[in-house]
Amino acid sequence: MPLSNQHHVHGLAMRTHPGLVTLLICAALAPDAAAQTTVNDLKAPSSPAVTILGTSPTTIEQPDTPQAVVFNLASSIADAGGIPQNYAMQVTPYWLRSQPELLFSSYIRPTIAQSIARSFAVSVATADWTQGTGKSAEDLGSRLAVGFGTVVIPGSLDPAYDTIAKGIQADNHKLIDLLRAKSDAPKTAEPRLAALKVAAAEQRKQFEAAKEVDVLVRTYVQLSETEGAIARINADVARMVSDLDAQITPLQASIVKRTLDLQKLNVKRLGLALSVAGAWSGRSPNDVIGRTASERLGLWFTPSYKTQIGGTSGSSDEAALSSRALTALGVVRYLSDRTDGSNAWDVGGRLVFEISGSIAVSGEAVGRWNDGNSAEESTWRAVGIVETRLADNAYLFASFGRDFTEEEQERSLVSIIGINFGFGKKPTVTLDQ
Amino acid sequence: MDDEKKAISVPVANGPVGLTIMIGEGQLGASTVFRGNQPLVRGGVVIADLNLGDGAKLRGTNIVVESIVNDISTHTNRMSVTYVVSNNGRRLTPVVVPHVVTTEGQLCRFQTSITFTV
Repeated sequence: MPLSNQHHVHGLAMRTHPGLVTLLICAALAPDAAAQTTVNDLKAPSSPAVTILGTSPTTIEQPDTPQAVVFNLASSIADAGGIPQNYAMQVTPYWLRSQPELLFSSYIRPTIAQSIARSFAVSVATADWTQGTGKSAEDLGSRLAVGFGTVVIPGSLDPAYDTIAKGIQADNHKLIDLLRAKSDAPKTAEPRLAALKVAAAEQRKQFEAAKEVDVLVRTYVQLSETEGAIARINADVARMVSDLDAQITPLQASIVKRTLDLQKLNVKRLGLALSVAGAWSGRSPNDVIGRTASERLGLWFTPSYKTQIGGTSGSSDEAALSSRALTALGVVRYLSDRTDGSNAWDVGGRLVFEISGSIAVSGEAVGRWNDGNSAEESTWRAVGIVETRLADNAYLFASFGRDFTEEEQERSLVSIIGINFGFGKKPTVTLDQ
Repeated sequence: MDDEKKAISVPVANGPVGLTIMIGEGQLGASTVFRGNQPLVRGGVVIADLNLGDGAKLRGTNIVVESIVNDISTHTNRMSVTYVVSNNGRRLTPVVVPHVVTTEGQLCRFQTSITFTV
């Protein structure tokens, strides 16, 4: 989410114009929604309907069952008494249903057709349509948008992926054996315990019935020995279970950690990748759906190529996740605004150098060609970004360069021959989302 | 760790009986088939057409399939293990045991007992 104006609203931002230094300090980190992509972002938007509207809903509903989709829509419409405002929902139809026949091998290495089908997502979003600001604002109706996005080519897995997966499977078998041994531990002692308990009951009867002193002493000794044997077996079982737990707990933790590493590697794919997205928005005067007129149309084609620098990561999950990588990201974007008759094609690219798992440097250049009724001439933007991860949800970034228009330069963190600093919750250049 | 237990009864006729075990939802996992305490086979995401023997000898006995499924999917926390018994080359109705982990990256132990009946 590079250079989006939403980054203004969080953390600390410092803008340096020639001869002018402005320091902006904002009170709080932005909500998650503030990290939504804008139409100017280089990546295909994760929720195209929201992007084409240019809004920042507080949440994007992502129901994962057909029932949840219906319930979500019905309750949102009922709550709003009509078209819900600032509402956004995204569904991936393939994942709305259980897929018991989808095997691991197909999931991680899909064909192009499978990738398109499994990643195809539909998004819808709404926003209030007003004219003017403040008390003089006039409610004209609603703005609606629908969009889609899909990954055509997902890229290749890190060579370490298969090695880690095989290691997990081997440890799964160890875990199965340990868990069975743990549940079997009391059972292995059961026959001996049962025999001893029968003997103890008999000896107790004899002891209680004994009248002779020597019989009393003998049965007491026998009973004590039997009860001692029962206690020793119970202690042995408890020790065995404890020993097994001492093996099970760390093994399980290790499996979970490597499973999460596989999730990360599944997202940090290498090689050629291609994402496609599109969205349409319209305006409904007085919320009358039948009178909805087209507003904007957007299409995004985002090819990329990512390679590790310094060879492959081998079998280590840590090495695979922290290795240096170079990514070339391209964009072909079409934006049409029916309200002013303008059409724009953006073509450009970005080069991202991930120096480590937490530091990235990138540079991007995008040309914009306007046609139709647009009053603006063709223009361009060129930006450099340095970004480092301070913590799981905090990033420090610096950017410099120029944006497409004067207006965008004012709104965004990019300025002519300027430099900007800010803290954000989301990475601006990480390509793995 | 999550746990999913299931007991299935499968009527079998005389003739060869086979078992296929599939871990679905794109998840990773491994399974071991036990007869008593004896492991019959250890496998990965799919154990295909494991020959269990003749139906006449299997009736009245049971096997236990132990699977550990790992939530490697970035799309879903659903898991499933599908058991398909075949008898004389004919596939009987598959039994799907589903589960949903609540924590990302978690694992689930599936223990399914399959009893062969008349």
